[in-house]
Amino acid sequence: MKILIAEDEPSLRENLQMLLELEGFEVQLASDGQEAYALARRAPPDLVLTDVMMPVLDGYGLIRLLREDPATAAVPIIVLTARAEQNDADLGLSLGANAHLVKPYRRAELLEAVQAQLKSTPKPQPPERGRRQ
Amino acid sequence: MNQGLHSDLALRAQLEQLQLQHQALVQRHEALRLRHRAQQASAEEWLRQRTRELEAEAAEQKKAETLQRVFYRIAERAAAGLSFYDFLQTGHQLLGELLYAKNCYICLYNAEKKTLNFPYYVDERDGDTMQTDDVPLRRGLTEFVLRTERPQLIDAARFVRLQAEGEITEATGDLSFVTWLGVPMQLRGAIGGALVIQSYEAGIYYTDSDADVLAFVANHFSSAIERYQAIDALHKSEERYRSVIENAGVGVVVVQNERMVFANPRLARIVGYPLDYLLSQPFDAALHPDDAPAMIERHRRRLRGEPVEQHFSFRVITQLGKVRWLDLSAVKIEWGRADATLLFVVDATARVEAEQAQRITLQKQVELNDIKSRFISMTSHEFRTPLAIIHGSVELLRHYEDRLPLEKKHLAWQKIEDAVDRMTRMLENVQTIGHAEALPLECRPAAVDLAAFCGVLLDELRSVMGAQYDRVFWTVELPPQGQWYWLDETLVRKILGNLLSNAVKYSPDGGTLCFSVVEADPQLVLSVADQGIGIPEQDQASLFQSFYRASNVGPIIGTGLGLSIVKQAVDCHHGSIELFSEVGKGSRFTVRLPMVKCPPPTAAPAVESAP
Repeated sequence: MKILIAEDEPSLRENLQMLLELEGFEVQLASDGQEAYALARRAPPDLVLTDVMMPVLDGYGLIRLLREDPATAAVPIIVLTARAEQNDADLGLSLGANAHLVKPYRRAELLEAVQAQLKSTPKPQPPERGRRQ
Repeated sequence: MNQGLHSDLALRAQLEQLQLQHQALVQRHEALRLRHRAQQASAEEWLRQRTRELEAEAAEQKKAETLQRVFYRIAERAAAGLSFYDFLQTGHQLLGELLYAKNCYICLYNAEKKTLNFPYYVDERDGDTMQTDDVPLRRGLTEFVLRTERPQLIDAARFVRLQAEGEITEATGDLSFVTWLGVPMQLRGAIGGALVIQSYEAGIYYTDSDADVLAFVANHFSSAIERYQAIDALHKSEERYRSVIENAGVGVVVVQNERMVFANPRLARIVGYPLDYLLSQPFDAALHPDDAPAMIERHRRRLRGEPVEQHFSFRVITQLGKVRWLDLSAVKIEWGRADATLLFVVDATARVEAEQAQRITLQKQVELNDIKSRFISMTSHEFRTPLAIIHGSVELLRHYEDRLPLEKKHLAWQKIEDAVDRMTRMLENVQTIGHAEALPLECRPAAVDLAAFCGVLLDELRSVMGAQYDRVFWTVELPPQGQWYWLDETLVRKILGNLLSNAVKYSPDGGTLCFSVVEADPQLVLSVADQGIGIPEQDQASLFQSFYRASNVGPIIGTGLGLSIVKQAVDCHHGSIELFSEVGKGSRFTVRLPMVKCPPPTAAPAVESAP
């Protein structure tokens, strides 16, 4: 299972990466929306975790691009936002995100959301990339 | 014989007859003579009578002509704009052409108040005792005329009789007149006064026909007096209006042909110019230049009958150069048969200033609210991130303790420490601005060796920022060492410290950082230019507000306080700050402070103790 992380804050990105890798996921890293979209287009991941406030292209822009592109339109997206406002969550969901987590989220919450998205979404691509561990 | 007798008898009879005939003739003659004499006498009488009648007719004619002339002249005098007294005096002279009128007076009667006054009184015995103040009615001679409403001709005998009858009991003045003649005057359909003449001369008696003449004259006086009274009432009412306008608490102005044609004293006080000056100038002379065009336009539109707001405020500049706010309401009126505008003006300076103060307070409130919401939005973003880092690191350490390689554990601990530091620094900054806003910064300049000061500042910056500091290529231009300036070191440290650390912080990809301090007499120009991410144009105006951060800062941490501190310090130092920036190309901040060069403090110790 491959998870693409779009997060501009290096420490948060590293923490996410460590956690998910320790949980057995394959992780791809991007520090802004544009980078993330480029990676997703090249090889669509099983799940995208994206921050909202990012330079160059923000999380909403990334969601829009992913949803417009047939290759990535079905990839589940979880929005991670530092802002607690309901508006931000609603905007993300209305643009096509599947779930929403507010920082700081608990590890259990994150894993639960990740599992839920991976289970409920029919695999868009046949070749299954199993857990590495 | 018979014949003789017969003839004698016949003769006798004949004689008798003749005698009788003679007698009859004599009688007839006498009768004729008498008749003739009677006829002669009646002719003489008739002639005399006729002559008398003709004479009277001629006198009447002459009198009528004189009357006519006198009445005409009374009317003419009344219209000549004489004062009331002068008119009455002229009337008296004219009366003298008709009647003996050496002594004459006029009495006016106020039926409502039951009083009399004597606007004209000429008397050879009493003297000129004009009595314009009202006196109460008594039982005197004049009052008798007023009471009876008829002409009264009174000689000594009748006077005694009237006194005895109780008709006249309170007569005053010299009462030794030969005849006294008073006629009532009709004013506005009622008895309104009396015209009186009297004689003290033994040979001069007034008659009933004199009374008729005097009544005619009185009649002509009446209409003139009525007119005088009407004019007087008009004057009084105009005076009342004038007094109301002159003493009104509002300024009153009439503007016609773009000039003030009338203004009351209050207006002069409100506008702060003498009345003569205002009336001699075009009406916009004292207007504030920013308000004048709109005022003139409104005035013209009002005169054209177009809809114009009736109440509005505008400014004037007084002779002493002070700006005053006035409230005005205007209406179109007719003034001297031409269009004009009538304006009522009130000094509204106090009200407008109070409103402005209120607006400023409100604005401050709004600004504070903005700061509050920006602070909340800043903290929710800037504090959540380090909290999320701490939280994530703690969870990693707790849940994967056994599986986490040592160096990853160290990394996690380090992240926690960094995040805590980051939050601490932000809180410190927030406290700084809190203090700054509570206690206004003070400018306490002293001699500063600017080159040495900047050197120390750059060293401090390098030790605080670590590797970031060397990410940019520094070019530094400073005044020569040992050049002292009169500056507040604390304020300059706030200014340069924040500008330089920002320049480093927002140049994530390096580039050149130009820091210069140059003299541009009378200013000292401090400039910090980077080639960093730049500041979007829409953010530049708000950039110096507390907790405001540009929209493109991304993950670069900050509180949005640095530049607000810089701005306050610059203001406090009586300087100015300017920003030029382009997104993706960099930013340049230029600070200008007043430049005062000074000798080194050791060379002039007196400076230290100077106030």
